[in-house]
Amino acid sequence: MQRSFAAVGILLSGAGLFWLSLYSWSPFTLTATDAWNGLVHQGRVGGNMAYIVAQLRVPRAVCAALVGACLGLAGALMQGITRNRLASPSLFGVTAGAALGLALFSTGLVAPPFAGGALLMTCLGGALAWFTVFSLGGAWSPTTAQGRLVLAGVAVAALCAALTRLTVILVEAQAQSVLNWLAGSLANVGAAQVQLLWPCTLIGGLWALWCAPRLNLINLGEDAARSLGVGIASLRLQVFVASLLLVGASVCAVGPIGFVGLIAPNILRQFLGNDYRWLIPLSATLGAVIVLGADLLSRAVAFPVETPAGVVTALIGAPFFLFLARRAL
Amino acid sequence: MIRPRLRLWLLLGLLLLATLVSLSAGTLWLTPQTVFERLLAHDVLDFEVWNHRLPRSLIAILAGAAFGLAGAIVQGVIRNPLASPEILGVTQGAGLALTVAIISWPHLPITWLPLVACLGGAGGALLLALYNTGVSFSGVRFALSGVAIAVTLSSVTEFLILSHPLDINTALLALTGSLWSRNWHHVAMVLPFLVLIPVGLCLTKPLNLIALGDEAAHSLGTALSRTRWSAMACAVLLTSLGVGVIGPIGFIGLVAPHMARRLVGGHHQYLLPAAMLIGALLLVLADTLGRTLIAPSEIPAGVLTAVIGAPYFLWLLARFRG
Repeated sequence: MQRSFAAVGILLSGAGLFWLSLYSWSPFTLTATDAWNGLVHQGRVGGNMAYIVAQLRVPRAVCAALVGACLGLAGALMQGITRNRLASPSLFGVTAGAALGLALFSTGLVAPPFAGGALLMTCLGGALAWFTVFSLGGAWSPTTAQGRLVLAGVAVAALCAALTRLTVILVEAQAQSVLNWLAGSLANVGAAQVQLLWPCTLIGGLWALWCAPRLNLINLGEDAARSLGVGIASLRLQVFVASLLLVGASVCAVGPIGFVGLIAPNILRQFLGNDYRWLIPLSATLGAVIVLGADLLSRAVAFPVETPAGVVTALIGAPFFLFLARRAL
Repeated sequence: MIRPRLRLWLLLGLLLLATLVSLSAGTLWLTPQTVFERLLAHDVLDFEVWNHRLPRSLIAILAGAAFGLAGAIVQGVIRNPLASPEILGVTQGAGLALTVAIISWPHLPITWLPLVACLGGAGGALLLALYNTGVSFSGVRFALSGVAIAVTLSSVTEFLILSHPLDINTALLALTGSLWSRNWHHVAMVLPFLVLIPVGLCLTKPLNLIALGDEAAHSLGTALSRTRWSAMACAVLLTSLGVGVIGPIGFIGLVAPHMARRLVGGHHQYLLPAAMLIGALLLVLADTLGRTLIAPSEIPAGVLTAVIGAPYFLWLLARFRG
């Protein structure tokens, strides 16, 4: 019962934020009517303002929702497989690694010359970061302190951020652009990013749902899960690939947006317990709500200048991390 | 014990050599002989060496030494090999304070920045102390809490910088962690180090006693909590002053003491000077490399120290059991 209430509440707030983000805090004066015309008639009715909504605002809002869903799913998957509540793409350095891959691609230093090259590079960067964190942090040893992985992740993230800065400096030598690179902004997304995001979100989401029952068993302890017939190694590999795809696609579309994967599953755990069959789909929804809200805030705080949405999520997420770290100790 | 002392002299020699290289290297390469001639003649031609490279090298030496010393003191007091000023939130606290000051009072004279940074650094350290009341200072837990504080503070900094794009340039100049465009005015700002560094070196004996364990140190007559507080205050001041002048440069305070320990062992009478020398050496090298690798543009020294320091931290973490 509580679960259904939570689900309905999150969906409603998501829909509300989506609607609001279509017309509020825009440098043009947009009204709800323009938003309606842009959304329903795709800008064919209602003149220039409706056209702006259809061409810029709708893709942006859809993108925000999809990115949030990707990150929420990835966070839930990573927390499930490591049984570590601090696990998340940003704290394990995966986001930073993916951003490094994107920087290498966009500056043309390492750019595979085929379609999807950017996605490949972000996934590779994320995979490398994840692999480093897990092998040096002792991820699979039964005695590992939870914090060790996070420390390794933060160090890898610092390394990747420095390398990203280096890459961008080598090519552009402008500090301002480096900051915007590393911050994750939804200001320039369009239909192309939506085209990239929705298949990845769909595949990753379905895959995550398929893994959910086995993550519940892992939660009982790995020995118990093994004796109940879960192939641990295969599950780890699947979770690894699925979350890389999700994080890689989101970074590829909008840059690194941190802490969503940490916040969403942990809030839901308060209401839903540890049942991943509910946690996973609702993490995706709550992640979408968070990124939509962060995007709205990012336009509102210094209107009409846009602050990158990734900075807003970090501002909310870092104190949350502080709170969780205190509890995990 | 002749060997640690000999190694200290060797380190000093290396530092002098590195400084000489950093005076000669840059977009315009000079021979060491020319450098000397120009420094002595002090005429029109010496603009580059006298007004750009010499102050930069002096600041790099002093700030690097301060970071190294602060790291050694922190590790000595907390007895945690993962501790360092940037993991205690000091570096980020100082960075946040600088950002707030630059954004709220754009006309603040730069000589005030070190003071602001010291307040911020102390604030960061106090925040960590409050957060950890009643928890032991050792192990991964402590390092994790420090990282959480550091991440929080730096997220606020980043938010402030990016939501005030118009005032951003001064803030960025102060916060990139680079020695670019530092001159004799900035050298005047790091002069307090000449007092603080000897004060830090005076902590040799209490740090040696603390290394024996709390009970032994107590029974040998150390006022434990007073020593801890004053040592930490010294480390905070050393780090924040450095951050106030050249911006947050990470990982030197972590790496230098470890390298020093491998070179001269754990006695603080050798460890502290060695950490200072290594810190200075690292920063001078990072600065020199940063301005020669892709001359005429520059890689900020903080980027290079992170590229070297983060893998070192990972390696430490992989070996650390506790």
